[in-house]
Amino acid sequence: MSYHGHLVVDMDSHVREAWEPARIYDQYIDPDHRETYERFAEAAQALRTREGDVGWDKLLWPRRARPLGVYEEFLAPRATDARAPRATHVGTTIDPAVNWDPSVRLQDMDTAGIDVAAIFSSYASGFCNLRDVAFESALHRAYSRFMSDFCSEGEGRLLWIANASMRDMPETIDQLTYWGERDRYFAGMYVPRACPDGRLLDNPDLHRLFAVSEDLDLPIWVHGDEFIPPATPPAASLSDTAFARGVLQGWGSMTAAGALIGGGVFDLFPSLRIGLFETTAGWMPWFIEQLDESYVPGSAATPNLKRRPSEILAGGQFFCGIEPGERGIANCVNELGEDIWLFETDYPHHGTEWPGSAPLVYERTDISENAKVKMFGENARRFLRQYRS
Amino acid sequence: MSWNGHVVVDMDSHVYEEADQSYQGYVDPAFQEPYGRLCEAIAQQRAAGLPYSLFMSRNAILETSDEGRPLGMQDTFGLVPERRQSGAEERVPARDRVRREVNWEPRPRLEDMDRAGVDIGVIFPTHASSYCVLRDVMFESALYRAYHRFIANFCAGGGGRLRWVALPNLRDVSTAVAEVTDWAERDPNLVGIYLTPVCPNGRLLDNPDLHPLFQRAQDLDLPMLVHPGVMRSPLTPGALELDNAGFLIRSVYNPWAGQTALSALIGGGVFDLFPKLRIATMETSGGWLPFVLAQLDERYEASAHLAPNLKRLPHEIIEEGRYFHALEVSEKYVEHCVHELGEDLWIFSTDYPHTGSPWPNGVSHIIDRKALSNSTVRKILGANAMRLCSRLASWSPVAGLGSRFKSRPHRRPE
Repeated sequence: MSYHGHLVVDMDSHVREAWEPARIYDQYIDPDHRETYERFAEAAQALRTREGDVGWDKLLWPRRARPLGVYEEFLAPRATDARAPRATHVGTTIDPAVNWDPSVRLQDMDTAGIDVAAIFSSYASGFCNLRDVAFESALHRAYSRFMSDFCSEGEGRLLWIANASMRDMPETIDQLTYWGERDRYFAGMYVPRACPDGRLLDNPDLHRLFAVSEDLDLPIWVHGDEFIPPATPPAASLSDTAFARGVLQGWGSMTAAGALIGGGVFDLFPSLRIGLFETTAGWMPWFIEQLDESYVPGSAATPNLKRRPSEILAGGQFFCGIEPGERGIANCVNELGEDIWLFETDYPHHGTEWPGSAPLVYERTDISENAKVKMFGENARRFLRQYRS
Repeated sequence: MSWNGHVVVDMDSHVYEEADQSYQGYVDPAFQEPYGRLCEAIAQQRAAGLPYSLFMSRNAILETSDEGRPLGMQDTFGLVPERRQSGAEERVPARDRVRREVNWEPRPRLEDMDRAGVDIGVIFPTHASSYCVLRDVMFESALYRAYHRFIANFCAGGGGRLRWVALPNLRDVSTAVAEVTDWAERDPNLVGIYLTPVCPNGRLLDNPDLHPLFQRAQDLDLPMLVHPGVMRSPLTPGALELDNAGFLIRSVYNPWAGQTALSALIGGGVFDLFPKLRIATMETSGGWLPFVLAQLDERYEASAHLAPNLKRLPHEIIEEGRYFHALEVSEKYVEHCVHELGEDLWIFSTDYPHTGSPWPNGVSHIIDRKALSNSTVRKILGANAMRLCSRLASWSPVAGLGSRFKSRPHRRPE
């Protein structure tokens, strides 16, 4: 209980499964897919240029960053990829072993004052760009087996989130059910901000996933990245403009939240809890006002939506991760209440403030002590099945 | 002087221009043939019992679009019944409450402005910027010239209270520069240059091809006025990614367009390269601006190499006073915006006579906000607009047009 005797849960941490993918996949891949896996691993390895290089991105979702305001700068690829792979943006260094050795990870959590961490994958959603859907599902299954073993050695402090195979819902539901019934550290399904075919999260094909999650009392974890498939706005239309895309990172989550709310998911599944992660949150008050403005009861545009979007936020099913250094936290809390915000660090990615994330919240004077306690852990207790019972 | 002796400027009003009627008599003779074909298509559309539509509908002549997909359902084939709440005044489109003549006759428009407590209305077209979908770039320019002649004549009858915005052809910047220069030199009612949030070819506003236009705007002391258009070209980010879901499109499309434009202008170094140029964004709401600026600052600190022309933190550009932003008068976070970014960049806009306009109650939405000081209200309602558009400063209610300008009749094409 790291914050004045209160629980601190990091609701958005990661393993960088591409750092040394052999440690994660070699042992756990289905025999039926081993041959494909070995070809895939070899191809990705050949594209790696340095320690920690993903490789998969160059293979499955290559991109370049275009500078604004000039015609061509002819930037060499390494010029935009020059940051030290182990370093955070605040200059601290993280041991890559945190991605496969639970004891190293727990030490880092102690250093950062984190009691419990929920762990996402880093890149696996991009496997939806594979043509072979069955192989994508096999990679997700292998990841789940690895994470189950990894977290079983976490002294109850490590929780994991499985990757949904969005192109194969029956498989995803099987995996959800399997792990939901067997693994006490399994926390639910990671769903990207849109479907790989471009449909949004209102897609009724997902209703079965929502229903089973609700039955198992497991939340849905919506996460994504502007640069990793499946694409969400503004990925397609801003193409290679990294500066603008980075700035507008909230758009994918606006799309997801708008589709879930407007699609009536919270009304159709009244016990389902859904969280948005790694999206910043300062846009949320303004965005909910926009949705409220667009909402017309009984409109053909939202036939399943039975109440104002702001009422859904107040209803206890909707949660949102908040970046600890965000300027707009106080406005978020003042406008939308204390009960939806979740503490997140993005550890061990480059953007984390590790180990200084929690102090960024401790030291804030613009939100109440009660709001901090809820943000650090009490809201997570309502979100996570592990604490609800 | 409609508010306590201070000028009230509506920085974003419109005319519903209809190509077959509004431009009649204003199109260059050399383009009468394609114009005649366009009018014929419109005539056939009307004869079929369809409303006039060049853009933004399934039956549009130049560019169709669809935002009718209901969320949360599979295929509905358009058969989901719509049941709107009855009796909600704000849901009744302003266009249904406003006389159609306000789009071509100055007098009824001025009467509406009097009723709304607006001294000066800055007028944008409704759809004309989407002529960029035409294959013939020269015909596009001809239609902009026709619009300019039409709107200049319209505003000439407004005693200085009706002002207009020029439409540059972003596919032919040199022609656009010449056209804007010509009008700026002979019409005092021209107060700014319309800028779509992205270029017709999909490039963003950091595009150096636009620099000659920005340079001329700076030289002429005319602001660039960014204005989006929902689901019509040039399509802005999100248009093709929101899966035709009207609920989402109506919630975020224009704000995302504004965010894209501002990010590209700031990140592209436009404010640094053109140190006297003033720029404003219209009809995108304002509540997102504090958040996006914080993000821009953060991004600049992390990735300055991706914005090589930008020489300072984005919020410093805003503090400098050359960027302005239109608020929607009824949006919830006006006070938050002022608290976060100060009172000097916000401008009053009503979108009159479009659907969703608060007309005739726009001014009261601002002055009834008890948390805003009198100074802030005065700036939002007009003083900031006068700084944005220097040509507005010459207006007085007694003299009509100020002494700086002499109104002249506008030539129809030979």
